[in-house]
Amino acid sequence: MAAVQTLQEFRELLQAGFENNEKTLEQFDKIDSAQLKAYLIESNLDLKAAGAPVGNWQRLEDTDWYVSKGGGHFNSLFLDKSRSRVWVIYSLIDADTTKSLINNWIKKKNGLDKVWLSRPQLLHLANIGEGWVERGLGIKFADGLATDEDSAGNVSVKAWHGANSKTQDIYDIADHAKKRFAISSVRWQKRTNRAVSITTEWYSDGRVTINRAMDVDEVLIWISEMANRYEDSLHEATILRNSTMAPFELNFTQEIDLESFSNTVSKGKGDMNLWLVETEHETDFRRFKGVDLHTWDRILLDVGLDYAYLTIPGEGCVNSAPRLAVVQGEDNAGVTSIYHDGTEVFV
Amino acid sequence: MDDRITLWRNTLHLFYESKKPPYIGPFKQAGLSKIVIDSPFITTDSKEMHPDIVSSGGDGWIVLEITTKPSSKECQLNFYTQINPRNLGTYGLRQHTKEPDVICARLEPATDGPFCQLILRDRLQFNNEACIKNNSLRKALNEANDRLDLHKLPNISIVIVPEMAGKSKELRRGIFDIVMQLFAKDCEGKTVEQIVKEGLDKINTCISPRDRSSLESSVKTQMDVLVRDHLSEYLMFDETTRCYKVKEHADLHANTKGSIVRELKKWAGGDRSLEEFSEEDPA
Repeated sequence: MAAVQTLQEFRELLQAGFENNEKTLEQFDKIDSAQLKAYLIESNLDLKAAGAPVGNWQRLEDTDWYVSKGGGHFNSLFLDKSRSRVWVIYSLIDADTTKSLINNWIKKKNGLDKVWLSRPQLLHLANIGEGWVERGLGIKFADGLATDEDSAGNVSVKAWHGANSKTQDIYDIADHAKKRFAISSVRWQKRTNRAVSITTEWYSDGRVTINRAMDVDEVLIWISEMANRYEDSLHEATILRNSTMAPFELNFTQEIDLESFSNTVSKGKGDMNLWLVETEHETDFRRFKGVDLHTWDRILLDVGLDYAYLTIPGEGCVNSAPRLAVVQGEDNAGVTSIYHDGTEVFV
Repeated sequence: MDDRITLWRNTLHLFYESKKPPYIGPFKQAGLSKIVIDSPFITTDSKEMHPDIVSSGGDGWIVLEITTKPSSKECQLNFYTQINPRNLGTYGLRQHTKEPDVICARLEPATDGPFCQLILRDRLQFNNEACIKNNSLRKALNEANDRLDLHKLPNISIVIVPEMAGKSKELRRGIFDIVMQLFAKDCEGKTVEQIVKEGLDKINTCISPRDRSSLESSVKTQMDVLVRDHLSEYLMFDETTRCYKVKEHADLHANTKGSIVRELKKWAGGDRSLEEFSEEDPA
C-alpha cells in the first residue's frame, strides 16, 4: 500500500475499511479492518510546539490535514488541524495503543488537553433529528476521593439497547441511572432510509469510536460538527471570562467530601490534576487557590458540598471548566452542569 | 480573606447570579449587568475622575465607590454626581441624560453625607436608600436588605489591589498562586512586573504608575523573603533576567508539592491558617 499523501486518499482508505468491515460482518459476523477512532484535542499550541503523539506530522497536499510519519504506524494516524483550538486525530491503530499514545502526548505537552464533553454535548444529537437515535449509555462513578478501596463507592455500567419499546425495563433503569450519575459515554446510531448508516460511541473525554459506517463523508462531517460545537463553546466561555467578573459555576447532584478533596488537591494528586492551597475553611465550604496542572494556569476554586465556583484569571485556558465538570462528575459528584451568571454553558 | 478583596468580591457579585446556593445580586435584578472598572470619566466641568465601578441599565446608571477606609467619601461622591453621562457610550454602556445614582460600598458603616451606602460584610445592608432615583434598583435593594448572604460568594480574579502596597501578609496571600506557576516545567521565571500585572488582572491597565511602582517594590521585598527564608532549596532570583525562577526543573512528586504548599502557607500566613490573618496589616 502506498503512503497516503492527499485528503482524498485518506478518505478512500477509510471508505475501503468501512466497506470491507460491512462485507466481513455479513459473511463471517466479524470485522477485518481496524475500526476508526477519533480523539478531539483542545490545543493552545501551534503544530510545531505540539509535535505528534508518535513520529512527525506531514501535511496532506493543500490541506490542514496531516499524517504521522516515521513512528512505526504506517498510514494509521491522521490529524485534522483545520480549526485553531479543537483538533481531531483519526486513528486506525488498535484502541489501547491509540489511547496510550494520545494520553502520553497530552501529558507531556503543557497547552494540550482533551476535549471534555458535557452531558448536553454528549446528548445533543437527540435534539437535531437527522436520523440519530440513542442506543445506550455508559455510567461512571469512580469515587476518586475515597480514602481506601473498601469504602470507595465505585460504579461503572454500560447499557446498550435497541428500540426502547421492546426493552422498556432496561431503558427505565438506564434512564434512572442517567439522572443520578455522570454519563461517561453514549452510543448513537444514525439511520438513513431505514438502514443503519453509522454506529458510534461518544465518550466524555472527547473520544469517538466508529463501530460501523457506510459513508466516510458522513462520519467525518458529524465528528467535525462536534469539534465545531466544542470550539464555539470555548470561544463563548473565553468571551464571558474576559468581559465579566463572574465565575463558572459547577452544580453537582451528589455531595463531595470536602476534607478528602482538600487533601487530594493540596498534593496535586488525582485525575483532576489541580495543585491548590486551601485558603478558607468552613464545614460546608472551602476556598482554594493554585494552579491547574494541565496548563499551569492559575485558578481560584470555591467548593461547597454540591457546587463549585471556578475563577480563571488572566488568559488562563477555560477548558478547565468542562474538565472539572467531567472529571469531578465521574469521580464522585454525579450529574454536573456548568453555568455562568445563571446561564448554562458548554451545551 | 483580606478586607479589600472581600469588599471588591462582595460588591462585584451584586451584578451576577448563581444557581447554588440560589442568589441574584440586586444590581443584576435591577438590569445593571455590564460594568466598567476603574476607568476614566469626565465631569461636566472637565475634571477627570476614576470611579471604582460604573454600570448602566434600562432604568438608570450608577457610580460606585469601594472603600475600606473609615473616613468620609462625601466630597468624592459629590464629584461623581457631576460625571457626564454622554461618555457612557464610550464604554458600550447604555446612554442616559440624567445624573447617576452614586453609591459607596463599605464593610462597616461610615458617614458619607446624603449618599446611599451599601454595607457588604456577611449580609447586604444599606443606608439612605431613599436617595436612589432608579426605582428598579431601590426595589431590588429593599428586597435584598439583610437577607442576602455574602460570605460564600465566589472569589474574584483580582488578587491584589493598589492599597496592598506595604502590607506584607496581604500581598503574600494574594500572589502565592502566581508563585506556584514558577514550578511549571516550561516557566522561565517571572519578573516582579509580571507578578504584579497578573495579580491585578482586570484592573491592571487602570492603576497609576505610582501605585504600580509601590506594588512592585513591595512584591520584590516579599518575594526576596520567600526565596531566602522559605523556598531557598527550589527558587532563586536571576540577576540577569530579573526573574524569580526555579533552580532546576524536575517532576514534582506529590510529597514535594505538599511540602512546597506548607512553606507557602508559612510565608503567607505564618504558623496559622491563611484565613486567620484578615485582621492584620491595618490600612
